Amino acid sequence: MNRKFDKTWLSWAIQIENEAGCDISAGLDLGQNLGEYIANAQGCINQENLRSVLQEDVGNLLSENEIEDIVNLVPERVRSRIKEKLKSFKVA
Amino acid sequence: MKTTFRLVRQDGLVVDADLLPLSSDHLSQFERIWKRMLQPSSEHDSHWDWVRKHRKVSNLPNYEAYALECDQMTEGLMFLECDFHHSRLEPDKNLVYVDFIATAPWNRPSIQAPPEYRGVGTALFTFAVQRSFELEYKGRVGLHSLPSAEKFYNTLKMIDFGSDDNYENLKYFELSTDEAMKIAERFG
Repeated sequence: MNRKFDKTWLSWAIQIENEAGCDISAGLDLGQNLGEYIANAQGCINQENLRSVLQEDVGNLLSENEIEDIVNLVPERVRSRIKEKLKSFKVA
Repeated sequence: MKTTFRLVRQDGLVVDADLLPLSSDHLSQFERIWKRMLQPSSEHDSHWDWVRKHRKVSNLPNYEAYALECDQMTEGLMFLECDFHHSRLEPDKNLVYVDFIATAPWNRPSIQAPPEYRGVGTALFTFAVQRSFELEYKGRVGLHSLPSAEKFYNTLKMIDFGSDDNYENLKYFELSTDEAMKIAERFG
């Protein structure tokens, strides 16, 4: 069988690719990039929830500024930790 | 079997490209040329080893491996799983699952702008849709997108099922029969 995709198909393909403007790839294998992806995933670390928990549980011990510092610091530490833990994975 | 697509080269020239069963020549070009460009990059597939991946599935009857070749160079690679995956839109129905798909580094906007050839990724994807029709799966195609490619599958109007906990949190996309029919109209 030899099917030829002509200019109608090509015009559509170029339009789709121009509109998307990105790479075309898929497959279950983020390997050493998995850590970075998870760490950067939207909603991975919910700062609002963390702030609420801290205010409720240790709000009488820490000032608002101290709680704010922790809320800002924790996501970065978690991201670093996830990246560090997962970067050694090597997958085919 | 050979399927011929047309691509647009960087200089605007329209050229033919053949979609062929994966050969040792394609894998050799991946080893010698793609890998050298990808490994130092930050691409999500920079660590992929298509030779090892192929070794794992080459004896499995439900897997098909393809390359898009233009002017004797491998421009894109794709593995399809054609038997075990089921549709999430129509749960009792089979679909063609795109196990892996990638274009050559020089065909990626993230690495080279403008790309050497345009149409490579869409050609591979169109072929997956064609296979789905041939297998009487009515054009249904599913895949887990790499983060950098999600916009392409959105543009194709695939259904976005969101992050999949069982698949490294990659987003699962599925092409419905209705959308597949629209793509099929473009290749008759």
